[in-house]
Amino acid sequence: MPRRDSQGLGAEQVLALRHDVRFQEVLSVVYLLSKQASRMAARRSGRALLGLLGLVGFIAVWKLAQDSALGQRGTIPDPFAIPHAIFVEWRSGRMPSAIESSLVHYAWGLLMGTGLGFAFGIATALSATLDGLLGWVIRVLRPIPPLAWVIFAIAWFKISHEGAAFVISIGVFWVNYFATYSAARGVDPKYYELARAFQQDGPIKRLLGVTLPASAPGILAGIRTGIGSALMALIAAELIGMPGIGQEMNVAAGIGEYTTVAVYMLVISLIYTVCDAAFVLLEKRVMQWRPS
Amino acid sequence: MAPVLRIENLGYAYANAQAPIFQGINLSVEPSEFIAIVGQSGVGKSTLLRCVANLVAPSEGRVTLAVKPDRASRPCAFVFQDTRLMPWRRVQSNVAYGLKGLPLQRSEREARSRDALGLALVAELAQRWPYQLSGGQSQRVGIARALAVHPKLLLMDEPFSAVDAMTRQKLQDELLNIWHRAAPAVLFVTHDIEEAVYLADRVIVLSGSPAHVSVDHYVSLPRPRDRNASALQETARLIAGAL
Repeated sequence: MPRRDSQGLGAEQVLALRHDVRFQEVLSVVYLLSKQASRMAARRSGRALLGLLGLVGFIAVWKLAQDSALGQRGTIPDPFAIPHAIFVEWRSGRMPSAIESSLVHYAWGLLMGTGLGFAFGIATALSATLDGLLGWVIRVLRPIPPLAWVIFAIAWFKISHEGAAFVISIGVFWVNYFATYSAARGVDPKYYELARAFQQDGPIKRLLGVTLPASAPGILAGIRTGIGSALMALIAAELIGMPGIGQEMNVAAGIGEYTTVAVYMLVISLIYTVCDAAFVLLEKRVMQWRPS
Repeated sequence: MAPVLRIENLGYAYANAQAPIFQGINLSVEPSEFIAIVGQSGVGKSTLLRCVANLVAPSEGRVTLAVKPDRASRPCAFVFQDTRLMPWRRVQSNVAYGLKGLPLQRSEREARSRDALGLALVAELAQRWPYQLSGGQSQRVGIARALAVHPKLLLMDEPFSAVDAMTRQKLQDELLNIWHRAAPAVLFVTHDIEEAVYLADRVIVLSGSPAHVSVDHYVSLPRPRDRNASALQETARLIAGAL
């Protein structure tokens, strides 16, 4: 005969009831935690703490994945082995020279791609003739991914800084070209009318006084996107053979040193974070006329 | 005295339109004269002003600005309905915008824009960004920008239509003060007949299709005027009857 408690419930029912109670307790704890978290998110220091908690959570999940041997054994590096791996890579001299080489590619590629993309974007936005002339050329060239140009980069520049910078600049060029083009085309015509009303309507006055400042938000958004896409093109170009971080990752992957691969991935993240943060500071200064 | 502006047989039609929106407009504006142009929506009041400012080319007729060339001023200046301040320029820089290209020293330009801001009672806003201004403040800055170029003819396209009634009355009185002190001729477009009668020496009514000058009424009420005076209300009713 099944055992019954004082209220006449069977053992299974009691167990289910306990589970329900425990589940409700967990729910209320989660609810309280989320309430506390949203209160924290409202404060600056709270947001920083939440960010830190998220990072700790990420490392915990990473470590769990490594311990439970998800995927092929040994392909997930130990997150706690990363600091030592950084030290080893730095001491060997490979990391500083890879970073230096990649930064050269990055800087030149970014500068060339941004400068040319901006110049062509403005020119085609303002000149109907140039726009018509380049319309089909752009349609033909735009879909070609920057990496497809690696073959020509190697043929024209051999394995060199110039080749890597060339591949990066192609990716950055399109981002900036389209951002600048659409920003300049989207300037509200009422400002041009204002310029005419106050006799400020020469082509240079229009460009400097209306087009550039009015399209600055779009142009700057393009530059910021370019900062990220330049890194993607950089690593891809170096994975194929150009010296730098990408090449180091490729070499490390080839001998199964996945911890070293992760180290260089973190270096990429650091480079992006520094560049993006510096750009955001500059953008805030330039765009102080916009309500924050 | 010779008129500062002469409009002869002016007409305007939009491209591909079958009929012009206005036609056969003749108007002569004397120095320091305040003229209000009223009419229903779509009769081309703003377009007429744009033709005068050379922002659009008329389909027919002629606009002659008979202003003596002056090295340090512009013949006419425009005050827009939407204020049209450049958001990327501070207030002072917006006011100085029309001065670029005039042969003035930097210090002269700064003094001009300061004076214009003072005249429009917004001197303390010089370093603000446009997004930090209220509607009334923005409109005052728009007026200051026009005054800074010392125009002989001030073109105003429904400048007070976007502000509340109290601010509007205040701005009307300030405009009259500015007009008394700076004495430009004013061509003021509005759809508010009481506003037109309160402000102007002369009220022009555009009506019909194509629109033409149907009434050219000289307002003989003494200044300063009382908005609630029966004579002013009566004049407004009289003009409204012609619309």
